[in-house]
Amino acid sequence: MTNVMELKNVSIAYGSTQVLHNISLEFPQKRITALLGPSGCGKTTLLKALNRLLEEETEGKVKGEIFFQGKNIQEIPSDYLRKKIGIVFQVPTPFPFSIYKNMAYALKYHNSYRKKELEEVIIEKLKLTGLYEEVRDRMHMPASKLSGGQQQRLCIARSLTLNPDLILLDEPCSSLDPNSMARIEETLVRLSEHVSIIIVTHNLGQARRIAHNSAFLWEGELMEYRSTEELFVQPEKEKTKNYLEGYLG
Amino acid sequence: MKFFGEGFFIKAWLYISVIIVLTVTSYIIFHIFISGWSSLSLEFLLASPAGMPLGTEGGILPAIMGTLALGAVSITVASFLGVATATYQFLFCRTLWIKSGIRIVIQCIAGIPSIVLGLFGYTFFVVSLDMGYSLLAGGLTLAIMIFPVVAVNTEKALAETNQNQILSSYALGISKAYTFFGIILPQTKKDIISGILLAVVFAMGATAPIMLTAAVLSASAPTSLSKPVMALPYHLYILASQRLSVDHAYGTALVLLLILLSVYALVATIYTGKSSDNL
Amino acid sequence: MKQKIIDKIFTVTVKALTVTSVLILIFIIIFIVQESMVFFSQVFPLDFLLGRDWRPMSQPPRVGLLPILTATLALSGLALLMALPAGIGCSLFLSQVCPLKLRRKIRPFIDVLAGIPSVVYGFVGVVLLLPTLERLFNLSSGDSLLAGGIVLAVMILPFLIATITESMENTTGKHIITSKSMGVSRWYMIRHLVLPASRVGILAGAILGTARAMGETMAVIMVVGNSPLMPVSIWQRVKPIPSLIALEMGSAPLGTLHYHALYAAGLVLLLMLLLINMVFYYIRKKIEG
Repeated sequence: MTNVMELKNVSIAYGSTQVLHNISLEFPQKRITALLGPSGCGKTTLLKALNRLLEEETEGKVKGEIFFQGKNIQEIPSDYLRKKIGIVFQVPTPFPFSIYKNMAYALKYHNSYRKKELEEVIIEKLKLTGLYEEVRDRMHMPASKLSGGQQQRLCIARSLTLNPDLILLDEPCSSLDPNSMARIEETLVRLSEHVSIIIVTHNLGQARRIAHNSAFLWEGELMEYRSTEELFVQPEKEKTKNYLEGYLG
Repeated sequence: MKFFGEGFFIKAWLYISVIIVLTVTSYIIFHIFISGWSSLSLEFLLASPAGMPLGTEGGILPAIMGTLALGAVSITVASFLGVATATYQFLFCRTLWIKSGIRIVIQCIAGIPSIVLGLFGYTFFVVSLDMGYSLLAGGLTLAIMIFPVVAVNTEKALAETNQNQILSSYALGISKAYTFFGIILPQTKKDIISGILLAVVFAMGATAPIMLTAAVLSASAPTSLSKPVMALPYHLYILASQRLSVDHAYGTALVLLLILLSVYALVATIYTGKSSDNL
Repeated sequence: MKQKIIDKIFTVTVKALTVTSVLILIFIIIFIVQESMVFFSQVFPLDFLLGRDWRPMSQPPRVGLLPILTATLALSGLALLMALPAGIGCSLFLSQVCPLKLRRKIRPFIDVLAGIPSVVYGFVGVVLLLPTLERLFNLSSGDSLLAGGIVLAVMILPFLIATITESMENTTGKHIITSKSMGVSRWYMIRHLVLPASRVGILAGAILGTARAMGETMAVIMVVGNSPLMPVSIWQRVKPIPSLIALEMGSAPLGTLHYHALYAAGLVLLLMLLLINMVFYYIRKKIEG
């Protein structure tokens, strides 16, 4: 099975602070991989490096190599890369437009769809996240009026509009209620049949529920990376064991 | 209440200060309004200066138009410079020292006394570039004076946008330009426009930069960029310092203040519109 | 693709205009220095700064800046002396005593005051202040250092109040709860907490106010008499640097010593402002250190 993303000896520094040390990881295609670990150990930074979003922020320096579908990401034009990789942040960030316009925004920029085609794509993606039924009569309502869980599902649907091969999620459920979380987890599992997913999460139960593989990061270093079952049942490292049992972070 | 008790001196200091300041400022403003009101006839507002010496009779229409024209020219140039600089710092600049450097440059320009800018404008625009005393020379000099105001206000406005929304836009492969016009500008345009209007007020009230580059005692209404113009602040200065006509001076001062106050009122309406948006 | 062209134009325009802004400053500085250097190649800087005679039209021309330089400093000093106590008092009122609703209404009022053109202040000085001074003190002409100082003081007041109030609000915000919970009265807190803690803010306001006053042209020029005499009494006429430049530029033919002397005077003014800002920066670093 080929890997959708590969990291080789990746170290990232913010200004003078070293955030990630020498990480080497392989993310398999069409699987959900979880990144576990306490807050502040660089998981968000790692995500942002994958679609070269880190370059847009000041002072982030990346050493080592990152490959997307076999090619070094520095050699792929960033706008193409970002069409292929979607990202969803921790706090739902819909654009300050209507639901319809949120979905149409990227589509209109990259393509010249006719109105009918545009609508079809939008409805299809909204259906993928189970949001369509809930909003079909209110597509022109401001997205900010949706509930937190709905906003987050909108953000996921929005990232799907460009048909990415990989979606990155940064603790997408941490500000949501359990019900919304369940729906999003269900959405992600469904999506993983077609799209690879990398999810940063604090929620150990979530990782166990949906992730095929899990990586445990501690203070910027990769401690362990195995299939989720193996990691939870038979962790190799002491630190992993302590974290999973709630003694750390 | 024990007024003479503890803290008496501080209390006295506070209240006396406030009384002095309020009295002085209200008196100034009321005095101008009351004394100038009688000069505001239709003739005053719509005619050109007349009489011997010039300015003792007639009106100030060309000065009103000249001030508006100078405002228009300077704000056009200043808006482009100021908004572009702030946008560069916000969207494009990745290195911290360049960002700070630009900020320092803008503060330095803001710190140059307006008369020194006028001096520069005279030698550079009027003489070296051979523009002569002209609307353009004055407008450009004023633009240099006011563009820091636009830049600082725009920078403040841009800093308040939601960083994650911008990142989400980039993450969808959207260019900076499209993100700017599609996401950033709609949120910030009220603040940016307010900053621009505040800069215009600053430009229209300024005398020193234009007295060496554009303003004359008597000129026709501004029809061309290459001719000198009349301007209210300069007209006021001449009328007052040469004791030509106290009545007309009051009138000129009042008209200038009214124009500036209406722009302030415009800014206020923009802001009340903004706060009701967020309800 | 059309969008790509728009993107390119946007990026290029923004970058070009930013570069232009930076170049403007560099250009202005080089220009002023250049024109001043022509002067300094003919007149020794120390003679210029310490010379007591400003008579550029005489033969040989005398270009001593000292009376003018001193006048600039004296005017700002006087203005600050008069404005600072009232400014601090008002700021204390606004930040400590004034109810929040009233404060919100007053804030825009202060901003508007700060926006009144300096020529209007000068005009008011001519029609109100001068006659008052003449009446009160039996003078034949009110044009004086004092008049200039008073007008400048009124001008920098809104600015001082805005800066100092903001600094005091910050201090108060942090400490008022602690102070109140210790049962300390408001006046005690003002005297022993707010005032000392606002030292930096007050200093900042004072220095920036001074800088503003030194560069001010129109308000001063109309009430100060404009004779380049050494300031020894507040009742006499003086001529500060901005007035010098404004009044004499029109009559100094291009390329003459007089013309370049005016540039040199402008350079001196700029250097003084730079010095003041650097002192401020250094002091602030020290205090916040």
